[in-house]
Amino acid sequence: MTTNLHMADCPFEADFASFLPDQLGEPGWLSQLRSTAWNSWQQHSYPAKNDEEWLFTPITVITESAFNRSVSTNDAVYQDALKRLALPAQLQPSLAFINGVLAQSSATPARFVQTLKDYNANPTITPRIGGLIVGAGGGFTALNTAFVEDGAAIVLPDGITVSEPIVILYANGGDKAPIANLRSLISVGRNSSATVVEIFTGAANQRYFANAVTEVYLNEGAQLTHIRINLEGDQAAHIGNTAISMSRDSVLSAHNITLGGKLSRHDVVAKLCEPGASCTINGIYLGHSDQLLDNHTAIDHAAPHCESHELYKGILGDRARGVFNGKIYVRLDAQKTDAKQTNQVLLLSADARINTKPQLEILADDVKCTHGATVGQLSREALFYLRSRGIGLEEARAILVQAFAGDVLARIPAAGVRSYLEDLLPSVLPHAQQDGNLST
Amino acid sequence: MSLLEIRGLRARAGAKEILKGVDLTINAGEVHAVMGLNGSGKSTLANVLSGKDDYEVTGGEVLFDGNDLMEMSPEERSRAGLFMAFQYPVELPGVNNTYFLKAALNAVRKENGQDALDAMDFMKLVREKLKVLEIGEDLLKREVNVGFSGGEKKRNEIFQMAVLDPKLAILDETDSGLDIDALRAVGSGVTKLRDGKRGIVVITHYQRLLNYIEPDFVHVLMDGRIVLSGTRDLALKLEADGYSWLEEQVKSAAAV
Repeated sequence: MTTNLHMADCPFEADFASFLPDQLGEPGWLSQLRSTAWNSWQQHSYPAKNDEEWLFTPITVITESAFNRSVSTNDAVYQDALKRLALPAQLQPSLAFINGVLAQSSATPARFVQTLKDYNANPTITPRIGGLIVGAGGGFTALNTAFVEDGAAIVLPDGITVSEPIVILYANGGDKAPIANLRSLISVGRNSSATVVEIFTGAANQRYFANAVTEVYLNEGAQLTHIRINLEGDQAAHIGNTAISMSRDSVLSAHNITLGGKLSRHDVVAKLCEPGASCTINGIYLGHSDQLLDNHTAIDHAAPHCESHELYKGILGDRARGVFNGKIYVRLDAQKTDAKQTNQVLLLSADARINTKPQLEILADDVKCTHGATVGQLSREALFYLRSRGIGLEEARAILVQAFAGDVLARIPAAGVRSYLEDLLPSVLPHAQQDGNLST
Repeated sequence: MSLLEIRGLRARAGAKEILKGVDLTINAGEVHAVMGLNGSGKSTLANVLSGKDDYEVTGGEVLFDGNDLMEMSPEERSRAGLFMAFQYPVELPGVNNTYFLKAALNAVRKENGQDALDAMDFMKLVREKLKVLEIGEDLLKREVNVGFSGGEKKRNEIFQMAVLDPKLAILDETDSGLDIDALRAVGSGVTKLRDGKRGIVVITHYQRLLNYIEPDFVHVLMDGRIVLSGTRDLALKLEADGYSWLEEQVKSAAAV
């Protein structure tokens, strides 16, 4: 039978068979979610080559050879990550995971931060994982949901302000090419506010696959600053899916920093469900060598009087490729929507490439929606001006590249995270090889 | 040895020859004005001296402190002590003015075998210069030239000049687009930087900036050549009588 053949070909089939018995004690709703996701994965598996959403993003890095479901929980992976990241005291992780499994030595206890395992064990919890993303349409979220074991649950009750950033560290990699299914649940209660930082990282020269899903609930009047830092290793594949649900008058300030991975893709889907919700979703992606960095955003204006602001900037050197796709839906009754989207890209070499596509679908008639995409090189005039003041060509390029990127970082409201990233920036900026070519 | 020696300098932009043999010698401490109508080659001369690559030098030579200027990159020229105050200073979004100045000054200092200034010493120096030029400190916090008025941009150029302390400063149409107050501010700033050692070249269409920066010598550039040199009085005569008498004189001389 064709179906059987297909199912026999399904990646991670054997893994799932051996994984399932270990989950016997879990709550019924979770087993059900898992089996729904698994069925969906079996039917759909990886996105097809002609899948519109994956047109410019070949996933051969993932499909060319197998990954092994998390085998290594070696604490060294976590210790190496800490060393590499050199996080300041106030950004020490509250929770850390090694290929998705809790690093036992990690816990810096923080209020309202639990492991997903503990959280899921409570029969009365709300929200539950899977409320925003199950992966019923197949794909990576289905794979994640089928195998989800642990993760971070950051759940703030109503009326709470947590001023210190809550940092979750996902340290990945090790030998044997692991796949790590990573999961975060963030829920901010009514009129509560928090800053959550997710850091994804792994060592260089290690082949691994980080498959991450984050679900975010903002209740009425909630405020969240969410900073997502991808510092995966240079041979890694990172697929991230972030789904956000926003209630009345909630405010989201999201900053997606993509620096790592041989292939990195991040999909953000934000739904503004009730009037007065406002989201800022910014991003910066810095690509060099053969990196492929893909950002897909979809903002769903489902209620009137909501705002969305989006600024993504890319800097691509060497043979790096970037993809940006920004969807904005404005539904029929989402009047008085104010939506703005900008994607700016700096190409630093002749071989760097970007595919950028705004996609607006507007059904309401009394709205303000703007979008713009620019692709350019370093300004010859600006370079000459810097050089005419004694600044060498290399430094002049670095100053301009940094200024371009710094604009996005400057918008991060959490000062500690912002300055950490600003300090990190010079060491990760792609090298400029092409500009006006002034005489030397 | 002269500070700057331009001998028979020829340059073109595309197929069009613009400089057709410029000769000009500037010694340390002297202030020269180069005047001329639009299209006479004034800006080309400034751009060629600063190292802009839109022009092709086709003949002649330029010695700066005895070194072949045309062989030097723009940054090498700056580090050697040449400063160009641009007609249209470039905006650098995202680049902080203080950071920019510090990078520039330390590049120049490095070239001269001096240590980089630390943040404290640098701020001390910068505040001192701001005070002399009567410029407010808020300038330091702004992005380079972004959102500056025409006058603010030109004053920022003079401020950069004060910090970098060049041997030779060339002011390219620094008076263009300035109202009388801005003109006075820029003029008095330059005068304060006139210290008897620094060479200054003021390139201008009009005489009015020379009311604030009194030149020792005045040259007239016409059709790519210096056709007449004199003193301050020449500028005043050009202001009063225009350039046409000189054009006729040059024409008839060529006819002879």
